[in-house]
Amino acid sequence: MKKIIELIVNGQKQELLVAPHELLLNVLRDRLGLTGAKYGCGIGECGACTVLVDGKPILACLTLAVSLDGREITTIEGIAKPDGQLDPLQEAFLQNGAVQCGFCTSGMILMGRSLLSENPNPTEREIREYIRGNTCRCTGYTQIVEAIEDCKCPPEEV
Amino acid sequence: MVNTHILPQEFQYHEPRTLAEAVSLLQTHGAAARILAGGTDLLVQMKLGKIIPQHLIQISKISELQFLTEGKGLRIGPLVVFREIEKSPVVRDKYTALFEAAHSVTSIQIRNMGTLAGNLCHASPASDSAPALIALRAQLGLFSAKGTRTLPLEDFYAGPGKTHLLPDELLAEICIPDVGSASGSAFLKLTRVAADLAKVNVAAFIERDKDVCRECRIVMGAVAPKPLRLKQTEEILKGKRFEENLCRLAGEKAAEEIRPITDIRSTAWYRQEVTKILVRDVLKEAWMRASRMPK
Amino acid sequence: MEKQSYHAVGKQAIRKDGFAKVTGQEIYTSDVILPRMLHARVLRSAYPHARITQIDTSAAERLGAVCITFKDIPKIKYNERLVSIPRSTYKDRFVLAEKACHVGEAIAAIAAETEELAEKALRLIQVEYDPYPGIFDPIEAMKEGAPVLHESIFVGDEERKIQDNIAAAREIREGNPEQGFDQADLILEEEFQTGRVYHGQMETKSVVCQPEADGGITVWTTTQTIHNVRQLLGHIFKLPLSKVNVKRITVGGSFGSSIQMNSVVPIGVALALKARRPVKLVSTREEDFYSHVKYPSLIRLKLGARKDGILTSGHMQVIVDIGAHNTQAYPLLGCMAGWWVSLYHLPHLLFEGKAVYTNKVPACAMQGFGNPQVTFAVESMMDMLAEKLPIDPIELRLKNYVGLGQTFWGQGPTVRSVIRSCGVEEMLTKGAECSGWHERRNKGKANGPIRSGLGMARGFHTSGAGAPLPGEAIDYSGSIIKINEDGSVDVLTALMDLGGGTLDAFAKIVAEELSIPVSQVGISPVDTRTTVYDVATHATRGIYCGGGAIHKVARQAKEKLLQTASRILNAPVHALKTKVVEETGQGIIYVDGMPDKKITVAEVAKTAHLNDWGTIAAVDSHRQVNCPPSFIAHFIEVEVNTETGVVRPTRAVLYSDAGQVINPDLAAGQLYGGLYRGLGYALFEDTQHDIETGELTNKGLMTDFKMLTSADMPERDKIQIYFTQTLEPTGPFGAKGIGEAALNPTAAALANAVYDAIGIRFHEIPITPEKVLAALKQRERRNG
Repeated sequence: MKKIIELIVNGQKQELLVAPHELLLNVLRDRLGLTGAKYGCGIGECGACTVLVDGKPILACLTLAVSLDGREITTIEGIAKPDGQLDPLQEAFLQNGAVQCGFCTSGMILMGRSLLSENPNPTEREIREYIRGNTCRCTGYTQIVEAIEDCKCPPEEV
Repeated sequence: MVNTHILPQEFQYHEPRTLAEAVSLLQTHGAAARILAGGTDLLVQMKLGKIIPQHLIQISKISELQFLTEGKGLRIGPLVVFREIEKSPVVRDKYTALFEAAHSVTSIQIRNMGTLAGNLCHASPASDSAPALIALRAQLGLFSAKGTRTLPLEDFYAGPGKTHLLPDELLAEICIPDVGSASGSAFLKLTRVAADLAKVNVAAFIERDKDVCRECRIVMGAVAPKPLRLKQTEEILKGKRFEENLCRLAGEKAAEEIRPITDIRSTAWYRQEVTKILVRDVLKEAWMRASRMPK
Repeated sequence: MEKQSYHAVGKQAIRKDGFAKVTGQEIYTSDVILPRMLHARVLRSAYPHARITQIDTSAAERLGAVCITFKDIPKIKYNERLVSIPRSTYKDRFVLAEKACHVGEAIAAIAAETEELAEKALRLIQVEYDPYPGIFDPIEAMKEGAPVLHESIFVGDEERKIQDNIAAAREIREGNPEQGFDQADLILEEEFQTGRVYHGQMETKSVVCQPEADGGITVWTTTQTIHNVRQLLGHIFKLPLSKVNVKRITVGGSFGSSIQMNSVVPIGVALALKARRPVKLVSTREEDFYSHVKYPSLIRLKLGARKDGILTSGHMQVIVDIGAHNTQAYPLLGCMAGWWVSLYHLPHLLFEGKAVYTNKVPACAMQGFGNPQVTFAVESMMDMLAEKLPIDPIELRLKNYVGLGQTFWGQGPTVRSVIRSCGVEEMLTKGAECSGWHERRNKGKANGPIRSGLGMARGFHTSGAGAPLPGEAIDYSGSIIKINEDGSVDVLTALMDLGGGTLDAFAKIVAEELSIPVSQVGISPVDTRTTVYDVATHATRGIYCGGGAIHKVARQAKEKLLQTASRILNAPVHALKTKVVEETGQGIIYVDGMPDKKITVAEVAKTAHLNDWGTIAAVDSHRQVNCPPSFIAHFIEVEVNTETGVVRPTRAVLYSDAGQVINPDLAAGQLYGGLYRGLGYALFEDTQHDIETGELTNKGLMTDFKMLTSADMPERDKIQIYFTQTLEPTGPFGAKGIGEAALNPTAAALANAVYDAIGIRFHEIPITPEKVLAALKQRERRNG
């Protein structure tokens, strides 16, 4: 039986009528037109569907939309500022050649954002461990790691 | 062919607010119902058509199930996710095997979603949390409309994917008894890549009495139909004066005690060989932590 | 050719699709949403080899689904890949199969209002199969009595019977190999094997088709070639090409899996034409696993060398298990021969290649197209020769490599050219220095159970398939370049950018040629109706061939621009010069020696417009007559845990000769990416079939097709990349390709490193911990 839920997506309230089996990924992509989160595998292995819920990265392909009624969801479309100015992490991805085909990019940037919020000064090892659940088939990860490192905030600068 | 793009099943969705409501629903629907928390195992099984529940009981809104408390030991509620375990200083310092097991679970995203309780109930023989929890002598609190019962985790499993949880029961609590200051635990896992299921994993818990290994529990995953406690191997260290050679012997014994298979991840032979190494190393590490001696 | 300083070429710039990609706005085929769009699902064979005797879609239709089976599709046998000329095109496939030759082969399809309804309807289709025995081993498949997949196929328009399940065969002989071996002081012979690797591109194969009111179709799909998709669809559905419009849309990675039109495309089109509504078909990951895989190989290699290390003769026998359909087996064999003979001089050689049908997932090109396979065998054997002779492995390579001024035939025997730029000496000598090659014997190797080792391998890949005469592979590109009324430029090219930055290179080439800032050059969104033909982005041809065409057309546009400026400035064209003014960022044209007599490109365009002189534009095609080798060398250090068999890559030096590097950061990205995929190829990527069921043992799930994660790759400061100081005179601003070269030598370098670490050579990849430990234990037992 369908249910009316409210998702707060990138700061905007969205009222939706959803069936319980509808996945968050498909609701975001097909109903709200937010196609930044991607379908890569459907079983939680690749991270292409990563979105943030209450600031924490989760996999939209394994989440029922109904279970997030009332929650705040951040997708890649909500990372840049409202006037279009890019987040420094997005800039860093562009400056470091960290974007090739771009399919993993949404997930990678959200993971980078999440990491830097938790840990503003991660080591390279910590970055690599943090994004290990996100598959990139193009870049070999080096430049993605460099982009995230560029946005570190070492203690003396805080 | 399956379709993982959507969840091609219809079901009734319930969101109870209390534990009592939840078990009442379980009592009504029994085996036609499944408990949903993180969904990282359940939704995959549903997408693959392996589980077809008519009712999903989402328990994430039940606040009384969200707890991670330390008193005499550790009490872990069914909504506690791997990431919480990983970030808990208490778990890292005192119940280190569990910390290491939680950290080894594939990805941050899965660790943000997946609950310990869900992982135990999914009953994969390759579970990372089960060996660590069994080594740490975990007890389960199973709750139903009829009441509660306690079961050692060690006795929870019936076979691959099967537990002794009754259809009207909910895993409401995981309790780990307190560990003394002269104890240490460790967890090791061998995988193909850094975000992966285990080829083999092993957890060890040691209680030390001066230079004697008073208590020793060794549990392995992915080497038998269920998480396997290596009782024969434990005897090699139990009650003995610790020396590194015993760890090596324990490794050899463990390789005989396990029942690994050949599957897509590895071969029975390889699992036996690396068991010798992993068991040896995990015991050394657990002893070192029990000793809290500088390296 | 001399190194010059450029304002655009070789300079770092943010990629033009970058903003869209980092903000989630970039649209891929799987993101396309059209009004009234239906969702499609494909019914796929549960058997590896079976005839469909009955198929009943009535229950599905009662749910409101539009259904098609093999009965509804034009019965045209075709090959999905259209690069070869007709007489070299092997056709064995229908859009929907009446006889399935692999688990997962498409036999019917439906489209419905929602995905859920489509799924329900799909499961209501009743199929009756008449199963035949399946064959899963290529050697067994060639024996008498083996199940036959294809009785006959079409080669061009001629029907040809298939014998012994051999899809294609090639034999190439030069000189007198037997005599050559007689001249050798040392002969080595070994068998090598490479795995059946899944491409692993992040976007699954998809198509959206909109049927147009005039009977035409508009198509968005995951492809490396919009024009070839157009041609095939026009052919299959009997539509004039002017009514078939394939849009260029960003693709989420390909690595060779979309050179051919993906199987879902004509299915989606057929459904759309029947439903008279747009149809979207997105493969699930499971379906994608069943639709394409890298050519595996069994290579028997024999090389003869003199005492001084000079190679005298070679014999290579190759068996390729191509699975159920022939995508490009015949060109593959020719290329494998070409890669082999272009690595090192072989005065005498014999190449014998066979491509064999089995009831498995159809194989197709994946980064390297036979080159990683061949290079693994050859570069392993070069180390083996070096050890036995003995001679330093690098010296052996320097003595024998095909290099500057020499003829090579990288893309097969009909594609010969002379090498005009070569950085091999530089990369081998400097690479050795940077990696500590000469000290490797002196370093302490043992650290408890860990043994470390350093290995190297070299390779190359051709930049495209150009040649002076037309050959078996079509290879040309074209472009339209027009200068807008404000001096900005539109570049229309059908070339796909698969992620590597090819289109950004084009923008830089145009900016450089026209002396305008890169920011003023726009790469237009295009489709097959608004572009001239481009064969595909494959064969590492993007920058060299595609960019070559761009450069040619840019020069033509520049000529017209100067003519227009000449008219305005009242000075002859040959008195005019162009440059970019840093401060204003504008391109200007000025009279040489008279800096005050100048005009901006923008003003020229505006003046032409206001005076009704017309748009300054050029359109042309271009075929490169060379395919210059992009050279590469990998030095890889590993640590082998002798207790667990785990091989960990710890350090790498990657040296590339790509001529003039146009996009420095993205060229680096190719090297990092190539290393990463090459390591996966060498260490554990593989797919297997269950010979009872014909299913993939990983069930099409990523859970059991593992690729290296960020945490498995060496850290930043442990990977060093270098580009040689070479320039290719026939390439745009001296550029060559890089894409496939970046991966070719990795597997051999890794196997050589493992040998250096533990003294055991693996002839089969992937080199898994299980294999390593088994070999170590076996040696332990032998040594008592």
